[in-house]
Amino acid sequence: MEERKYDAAELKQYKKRSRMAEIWRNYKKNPSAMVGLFIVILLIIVTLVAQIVYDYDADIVTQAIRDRFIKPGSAGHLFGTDQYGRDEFTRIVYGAKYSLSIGFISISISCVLGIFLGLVAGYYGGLIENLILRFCEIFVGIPSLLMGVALMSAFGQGLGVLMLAIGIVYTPLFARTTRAAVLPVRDAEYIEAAKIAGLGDFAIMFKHVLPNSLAPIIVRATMGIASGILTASSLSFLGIGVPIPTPEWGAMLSEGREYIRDYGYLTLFPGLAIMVTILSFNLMGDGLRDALDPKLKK
Amino acid sequence: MKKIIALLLVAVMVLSLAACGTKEENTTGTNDGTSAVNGTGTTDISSTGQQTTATEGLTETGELAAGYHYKEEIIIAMADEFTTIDPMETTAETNQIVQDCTHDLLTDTNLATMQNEGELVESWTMEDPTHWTFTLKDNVTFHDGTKLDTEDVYFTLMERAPQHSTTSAYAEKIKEFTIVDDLTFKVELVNGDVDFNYVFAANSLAILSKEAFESMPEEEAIKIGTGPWMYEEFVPGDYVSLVRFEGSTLYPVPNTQRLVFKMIPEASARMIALENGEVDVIMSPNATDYARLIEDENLQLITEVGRGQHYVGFNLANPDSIVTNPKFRLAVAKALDKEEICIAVWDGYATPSTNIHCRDMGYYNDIEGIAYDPEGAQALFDELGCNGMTISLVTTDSAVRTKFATNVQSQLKKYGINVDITQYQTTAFNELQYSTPGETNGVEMFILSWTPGKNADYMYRNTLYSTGGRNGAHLNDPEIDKLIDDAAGEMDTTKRAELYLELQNKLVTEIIPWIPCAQATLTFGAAAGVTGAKIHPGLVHQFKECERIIAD
Amino acid sequence: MLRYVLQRLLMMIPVLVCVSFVVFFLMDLAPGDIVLQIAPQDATPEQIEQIREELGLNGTVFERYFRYLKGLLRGDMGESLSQKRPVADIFFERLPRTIELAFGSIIVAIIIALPLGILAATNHRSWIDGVSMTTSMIGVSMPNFWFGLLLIMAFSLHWKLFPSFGADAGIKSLILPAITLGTEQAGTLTRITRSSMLEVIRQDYLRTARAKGVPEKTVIRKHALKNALIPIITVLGSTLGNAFGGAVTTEAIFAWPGVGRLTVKAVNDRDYTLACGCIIMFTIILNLTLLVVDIAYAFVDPRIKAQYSK
Repeated sequence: MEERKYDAAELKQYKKRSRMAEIWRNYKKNPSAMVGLFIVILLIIVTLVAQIVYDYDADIVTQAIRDRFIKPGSAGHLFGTDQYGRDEFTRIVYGAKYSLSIGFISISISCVLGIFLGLVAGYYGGLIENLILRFCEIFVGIPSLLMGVALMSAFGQGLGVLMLAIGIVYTPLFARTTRAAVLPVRDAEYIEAAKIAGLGDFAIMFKHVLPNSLAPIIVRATMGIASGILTASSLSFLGIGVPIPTPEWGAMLSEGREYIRDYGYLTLFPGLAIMVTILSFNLMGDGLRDALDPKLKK
Repeated sequence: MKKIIALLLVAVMVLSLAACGTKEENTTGTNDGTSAVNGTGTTDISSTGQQTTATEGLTETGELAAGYHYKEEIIIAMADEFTTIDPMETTAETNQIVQDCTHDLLTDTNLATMQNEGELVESWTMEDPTHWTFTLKDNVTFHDGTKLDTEDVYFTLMERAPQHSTTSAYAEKIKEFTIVDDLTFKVELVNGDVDFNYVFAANSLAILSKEAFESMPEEEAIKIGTGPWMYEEFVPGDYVSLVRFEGSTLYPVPNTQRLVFKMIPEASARMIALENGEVDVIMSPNATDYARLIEDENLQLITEVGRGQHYVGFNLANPDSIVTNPKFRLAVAKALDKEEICIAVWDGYATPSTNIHCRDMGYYNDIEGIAYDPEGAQALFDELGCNGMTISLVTTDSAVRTKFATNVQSQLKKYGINVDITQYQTTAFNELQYSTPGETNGVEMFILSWTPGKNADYMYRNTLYSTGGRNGAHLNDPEIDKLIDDAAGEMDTTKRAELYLELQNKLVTEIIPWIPCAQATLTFGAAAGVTGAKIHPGLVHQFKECERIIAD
Repeated sequence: MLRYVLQRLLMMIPVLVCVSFVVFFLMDLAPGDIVLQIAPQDATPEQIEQIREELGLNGTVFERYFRYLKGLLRGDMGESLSQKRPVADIFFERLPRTIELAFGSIIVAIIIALPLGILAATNHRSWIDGVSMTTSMIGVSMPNFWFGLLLIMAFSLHWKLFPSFGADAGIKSLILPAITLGTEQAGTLTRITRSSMLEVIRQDYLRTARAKGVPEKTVIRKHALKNALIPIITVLGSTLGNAFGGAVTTEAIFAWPGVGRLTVKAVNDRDYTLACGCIIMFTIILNLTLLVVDIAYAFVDPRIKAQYSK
């Protein structure tokens, strides 16, 4: 690592930069985090393009039994075909939509619920805080996969239910993170000032407390997306994931395992897709954590 | 950095390729997808079947040849969990497979002839449909050394059975039970039943020892049966082990000393355990492993046509749905290519059905049914204005039903019909279909299978009779009810056969509550030298005489 | 200290009441009826009603819940509806296997995470850091049912080193499932090791030690690691707790007779008592683990010990 000496003028300019730019600057320094970001952006583009290029009915539903198990690399089938003769590449590319949206939407649900609970707990303290913390303890105490199974059993199968179930499972995590982040901010002088100025509780919470405690929540959310996708694939393995024939990667991986010895590519491609996606989100999360952590700054 | 990630990905691929590598050589060409369609590519398993030929290591007289011995312990890998020793507590086949080794029934299905024969019963006579006399086999011994007599039968059927939910329905069929002597008893039925002997083939009615229940605590007494195997140890969730019963008289004393049933839920893991020699028999291997089982000289594939009828059903009591229109049902019946279903769902290891009645049961008729006719189907769909319509289909979440449903969805798509699939866990599905008689819960189409455990009547009584407990089609047709009743009550077998033929034709081609699609092939994988692992088409497989001969 | 422990134990009671409430009502909400599962296929509606009564499944959900809760508060988790045996018996029969797997996986996680975490921290922001962190995340990025199958195929089918299923061959059977589950845990553990090491490395006393001429290896091993241990232990505690209940897929792939799969089966069968009982037990175990971790703190860090004795 190379120590760098700043002269006074440079330092001044440095301070002027907005916090965002500074975070970005820190983030950019981390090559693995950049790879993660690059892949995530690529995935989003692929998802959008796939919606235009492919047709659900023709490419996902319709089977071609005569063309089953065509080897990867054959003409017209880059990733081969599956046990129903459906093109594996199409399914992987089209399926990005499901895995990503499961990750994003379910974590958004837990973020919204968790941030609200965490803010209220951290801001008010006392009995409310205690109650919310106990509530979180209850849910954290139940292993997340088992909780997912119970929720999916209760509300039935479906993409929406799956997202909601994963969202609920991860809510206490965000509530706790938010509360922990709010605590040091709660007693800060500018909050006092805002109170004296007559701002309402919720205005203070969302305008002043939240923005100043956002960093750890963002890191958690990034990694939460990865966990969400992984939980969905485990639920698919247990037979309670997305409805068929949705080409969600976890479901494809789970269905393909019957053929793992003779047609290993049927598990390899969805498996790698999940792995790369989760790795990217985790690398992004790690990079963000480093970039946001003032202690690690030199 | 990218290089490093790329390297790691490559490492994973290498691991998976190393893992997949071995078998590429020995299955070349056998499972090529394209040729599988016309039947040449799929592994030919017709020559395997249940073992009938002499096994290596045995002389012609059935003696052990020099240089061979019996393996002391046989380990059987099952897909589901064994949960209870008490036969009256369960209807799950996995439990019954083990219980069948230790306990015997009054009558049972002979797997060679598929006829109901006496197991503990020597003979029976039916005076009229309500009065029956049974004679027990002499000199049958329980594990505790006591002799089987009519007191034990009375205790099992009349004292213990009424207290248990799985057996009380059977017990209630009997109005009066009379003990004539040690080996003879008479029963008078509440309602006449010409096939009453089949009732005694219910696995939950395995005969228990009265003396054992008087002298031992219940959890010990329940283990005492007349079978060639005795319970040794049961570790829930892991395994159940049996040792041979040296005093067995009904069946020969097994040459194997110990029989262990283990649960391995993953089919691929079961196969690997078999190849590694960790287990001797595996149930339901993956179809992709059949070739491996046949080609490997240390392994064998055991097959049998299953009795389960896999079908697409219609909810006839849903007035809002087009499925109540017989023309629509006929169109779907013409539209579905059953050969394709067999390939998509069972990799070709299934027989397309033309009749609702299961192939290996009595009174099966090789009727023509409704042939695959895409043009005819399209014409009918057009006539009904079905293009672009959406129809809902429900099924359970098992792997087979998942494949079945996606294929039906794909096939109907070609006629412009969208199928909206919802899968339920078995418990939820049962509630949806059967909880309240007459309640349809908005179901339109469903996919299910029916494995009639007993006689021909059982094929229809529960599933297609208006008051049947498993009447998911909600068929309520007095004419069909009458045919089912008449056939069951008809004493003359020729007339009975005619009635069943009429019933089958009516159901398959006129009413179409179900479209029978296929009967799947049931399979075991086993190590070479294993004999006596018998597949039961009704899924209660038999291991009473399971042995394995190996070279010294 | 003792008072604190007692207080924590008492706090578990309301938590358990709430957990049982949540699970019980979720199970009630779930469509499906265990009675239809148990009854023979030709049972009449009257017989089905009779079975319902025998199983104690009659009455409203509130009546049933209070009946259940009454037993629970007396320490009786009732009888499993599908297995007709006491829930506690069924659970404790299988618990040892789960504990084995949980500890095995934690050991694997530590073996992977500590060196990688330390390596990453001591080479902060170099390529070694990147490689270490990425490696640690591979395990957590692979759905573990897939990873487990690949392990079986490579190590048990191809190289024939370990048994492919079950728990009979002692430590040999434990290795593959422990690796499957352990690599999943290793990601978080490496991350925490790295960040707490980073924090400690910058402390003044380490600078002093270095200035005194203590070799870098000794600095890391003797001074830094010991002080970085506290946050690592915290994560270890919750990881262990997760390993108890989160091993469902690993258990299924390796036919490992643990409690995770038991619970999923109970939920699927709508076996209310067994499912509730298992989840309640998980909650107790997790809470106890966290308590033990808190006490372990006190031993590692005298500052915290002082707080308790106040």
